[in-house]
Amino acid sequence: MPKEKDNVLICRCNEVSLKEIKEAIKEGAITVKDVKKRTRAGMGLCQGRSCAKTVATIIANELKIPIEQVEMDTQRIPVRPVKIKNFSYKEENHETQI
Amino acid sequence: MKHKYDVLVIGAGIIGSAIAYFLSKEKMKVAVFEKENIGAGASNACGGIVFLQSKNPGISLKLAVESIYILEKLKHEFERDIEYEQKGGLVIINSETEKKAFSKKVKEHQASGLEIQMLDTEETLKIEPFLSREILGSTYCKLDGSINPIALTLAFAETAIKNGIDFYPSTEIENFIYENSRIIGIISNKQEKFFADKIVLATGIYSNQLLSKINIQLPIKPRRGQVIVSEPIAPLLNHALLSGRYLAAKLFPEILEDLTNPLNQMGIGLVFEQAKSGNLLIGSTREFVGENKETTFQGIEYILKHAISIIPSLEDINIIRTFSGLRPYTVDGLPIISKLIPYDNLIIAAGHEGDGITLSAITGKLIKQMVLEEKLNDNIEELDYNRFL
Repeated sequence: MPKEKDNVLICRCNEVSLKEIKEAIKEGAITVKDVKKRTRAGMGLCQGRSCAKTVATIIANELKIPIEQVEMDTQRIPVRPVKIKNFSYKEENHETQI
Repeated sequence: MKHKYDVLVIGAGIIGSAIAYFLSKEKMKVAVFEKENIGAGASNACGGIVFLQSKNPGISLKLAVESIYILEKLKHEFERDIEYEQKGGLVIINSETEKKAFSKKVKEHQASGLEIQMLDTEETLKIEPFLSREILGSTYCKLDGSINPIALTLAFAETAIKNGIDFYPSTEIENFIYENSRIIGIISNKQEKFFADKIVLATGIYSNQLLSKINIQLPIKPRRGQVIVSEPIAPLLNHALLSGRYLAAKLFPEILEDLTNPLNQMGIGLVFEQAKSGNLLIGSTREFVGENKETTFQGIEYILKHAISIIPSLEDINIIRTFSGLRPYTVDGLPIISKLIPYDNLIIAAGHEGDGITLSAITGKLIKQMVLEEKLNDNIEELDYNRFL
């Protein structure tokens, strides 16, 4: 049974399993960012919005520390994927409606 | 608690990790101290371009050539995939002023033996069909490429740990320990004492905090670079790219002096590569904003405007993240790899600004030679800190 559980995907965007995350912690990861760098968990399209808290819980459990002590990743713009053209929109491109 | 080592390395960014790796292959007892964890600062908040044509002929280019030679070998030695690929690099020319400046630079590079050539618009579009027809050409160097800086930092550090060095994460240096005005060790913030014959500082922008304890100050200051990450996409470009503006900031700043241009105010230049994962890394700004690591809407907006003027097909691609890193800038654009006289057992390797990833390997090797008091690979007098005295 424990083997099967280890294959559960924690980061669904980048398909990172519980086992890989536990290994990263064993290798010295102590923050959500450390796990991300070693496994790519949280580097996908959702940017850890679904898995970051689960990763933090796993770190807390593995290191036997309270979850409040686990450092989360930095939150930055954009909140969700944004097309690049939204940043380069030129005024003359506005279509006037009649 | 008392610990005795041969060498203490302060900092586990790309430079400290590379140094630890080279020292770990010698029969020496080495400890590495890091206030956070491996690659917590600028080393993992950057793009991964590894370029030769961005270096001035002379010591910079010479060290970069040696460094990529080592990286190419390490690629096969490390267990972790460092994603190093010499896929060729282009510097895109966008104005007549840039064209003039880069034609001259290409001749200097060719004279110093670097294989580099100037391509016109048609020749450039032939190898990179997604670029804008408005560009005026490019300079091409086949040895340029890119690497995964996170993987490289981890690979250096992990291999060093596997080879037996002691790694102390979340540990800061509170003070040095002296004996007859000589430094013989350090005290950590956990009040532990560590003694060693040699101490190496690889402390990037934080160097002066530590050096203030021994009344040395170096002209290193943080320069922020903002970077954007896109969603993973199918291969878009065949090469790693810089825009002329990006390099001009380093090689001929005089052509960017017009501060009415907002791109110049924020030091915007394009640095563009596609990681192995398919994500595009699009940078960057060059700003002096102290230790502020935030990303700004304006910075992101101007980088993307500049990027789209060179690669119009970026339009419909989504960005998913932005980040920024504080590069250790020095006034003359050269790193400091030097003994900190009068303390002749104290060595520093810092101030690489945007060249830390490229120069990591050769820096690690040179510091190992300094520590072992071997003959150095290169004459690095130009990198001595006494140039600022």
